Amino acid sequence: MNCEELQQLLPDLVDGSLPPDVQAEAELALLDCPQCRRELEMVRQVRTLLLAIQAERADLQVPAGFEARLLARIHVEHTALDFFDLSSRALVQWLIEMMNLLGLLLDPGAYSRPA
Amino acid sequence: MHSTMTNFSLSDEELVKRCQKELPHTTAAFETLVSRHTQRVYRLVYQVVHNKEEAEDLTQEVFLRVYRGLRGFDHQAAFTTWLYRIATNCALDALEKAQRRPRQLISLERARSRSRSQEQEEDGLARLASPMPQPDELALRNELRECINRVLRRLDRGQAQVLLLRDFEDTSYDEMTRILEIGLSSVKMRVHRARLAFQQYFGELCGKMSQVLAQVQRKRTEGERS
Repeated sequence: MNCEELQQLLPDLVDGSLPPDVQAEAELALLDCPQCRRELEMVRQVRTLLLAIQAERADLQVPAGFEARLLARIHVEHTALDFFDLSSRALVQWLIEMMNLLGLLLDPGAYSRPA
Repeated sequence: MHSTMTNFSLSDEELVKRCQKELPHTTAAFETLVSRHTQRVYRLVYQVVHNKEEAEDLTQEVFLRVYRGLRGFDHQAAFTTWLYRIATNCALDALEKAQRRPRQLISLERARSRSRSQEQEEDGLARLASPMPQPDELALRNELRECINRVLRRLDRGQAQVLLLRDFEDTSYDEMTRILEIGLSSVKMRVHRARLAFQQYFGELCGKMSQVLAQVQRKRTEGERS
């Protein structure tokens, strides 16, 4: 196994998830690749540190009533959207009526003239 | 009630189809999706904000975005791919926003010197392993978390995303291939590069990781003995 092949296996070496024969071969190859050894040590440290932080929160639970609060928020958003939708439709209707009214004021004869 | 019970046996994708037919009038399928994934999404965002209220707000934000986007979800990717992208993006957005807030925590160096003056050989960060932290230790834990967040901010978003999934949330590589929609070897290489970058920035911003870890592990061993 050369250094390039070994590099590909470093994530599995960190996890210890290689089959025993490949693991043994990789460990032998590590002896000849100082760069791989250094990288392996660095990434192992990161994994270990972050797992230690993660372990502190192993019993972390979503606060009770979360789903009810989420659904209530969705309901509020929906109601607001419905209201906005209704408002915008009412506004368009009002604008049309205003334009008709303005047209009537500017040209009162338009509606009485035959087509 | 019956429909909620039935929904539990459905896959995420079947539930999404049901949501697309039934929302907004019937929310049972959506509720099942929420209850199925809330815990993981909450844990994931908590890893970044370290505050229960903020984590809940962010988790709500994630599911609100899901709710709003469900109608347009085209089933080209798995539901979890989409969900965890939204979740990691929300978490990383929160991280960026936090950067803009003024820092209130003690500095790592001050924490260390104070700790040394109290216990000469004791590095402050070693107290991380303590199961019942004292107020001083809590400040130090917070400082390390804040430091980790500073490192996360220095990473590019793709690197931060893979680290969140793999090392903060312990997502399997197989699942990550689905979430990121890339092959297994690419996922592993991304995680590897992200860890190397994390290690480098940690050294620049927080101190030598090997020393921090040695102290954490020593403290843990002492805790197990006593």
